[in-house]
Amino acid sequence: MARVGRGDRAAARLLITAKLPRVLALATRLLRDRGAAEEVAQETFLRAWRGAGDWRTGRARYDTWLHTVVLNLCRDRLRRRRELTGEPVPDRADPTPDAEQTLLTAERARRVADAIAALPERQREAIVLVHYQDLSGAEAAAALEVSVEALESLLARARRTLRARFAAEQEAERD
Amino acid sequence: MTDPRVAERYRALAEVYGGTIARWPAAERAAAARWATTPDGARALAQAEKLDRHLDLWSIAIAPEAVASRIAARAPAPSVLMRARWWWSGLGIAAALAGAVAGTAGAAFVGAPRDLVVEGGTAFGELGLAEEGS
Repeated sequence: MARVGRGDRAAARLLITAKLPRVLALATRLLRDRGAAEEVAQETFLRAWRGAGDWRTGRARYDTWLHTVVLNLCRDRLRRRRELTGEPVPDRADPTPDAEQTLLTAERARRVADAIAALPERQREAIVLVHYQDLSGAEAAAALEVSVEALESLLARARRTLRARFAAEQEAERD
Repeated sequence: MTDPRVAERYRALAEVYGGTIARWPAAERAAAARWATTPDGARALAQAEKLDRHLDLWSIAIAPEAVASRIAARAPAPSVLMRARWWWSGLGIAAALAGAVAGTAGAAFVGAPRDLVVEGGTAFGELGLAEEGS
């Protein structure tokens, strides 16, 4: 980070290569809008560039800090979206499905995305951080600025809700 | 035979973190792996893993290349001090190389500092980046 702060472009590029995919993945899952996710990613790194010279070893892990910034930026966008449209999440099929998915797989993916989007905000964030971003419990708790116990409570409730929803969907399909 | 209270704790952890023990808190993993070999443990983990697999159905495709170049373009610019440092370090290398070539007349001085400020990396290859704070 010190090298980035001194204008070392190679160091900046290495950081982008290492972190951008995860930043984009997190923003994409939370916003379900590729364009908005790219804007959040840009803003995240802009903040990283601004603070690069001041970064101190021994502070939170840099990855955790990045996740916190992305979370905050996404929350702001979702709040504004809710204020404008009444809907926090775009009411359309996920615009970023894997190109090789079949229609059926894409539909299943959309249902999972919808189910997660329907969770209360903190539960949604907890599931995305731990299951999809592969953060440890401690890292996810730090990014959410909650205790590990609070994070585990969020995850337990989220998973319970999701399990019930998926079971209900499967039951409905059988009928 | 696992203590029932411990088994209860592990079932709760499976509910929280899912069926892959590698995702559990580090301090719990070794003992949880032993519990996983019991019928109760195997059942609880299989149940949790069902949900994990369902969650995995949501995959996304990201294309970072376009936004990567926009982000890189706004990275901090090299400071005057940095450019001067590279120029001097390049000068030292050039002088050493010139001196190593027997019979040549004088050192082949490098040109302006611009020649050594390589956008694609340093003049001596890519720097390794040790992530601070991680």
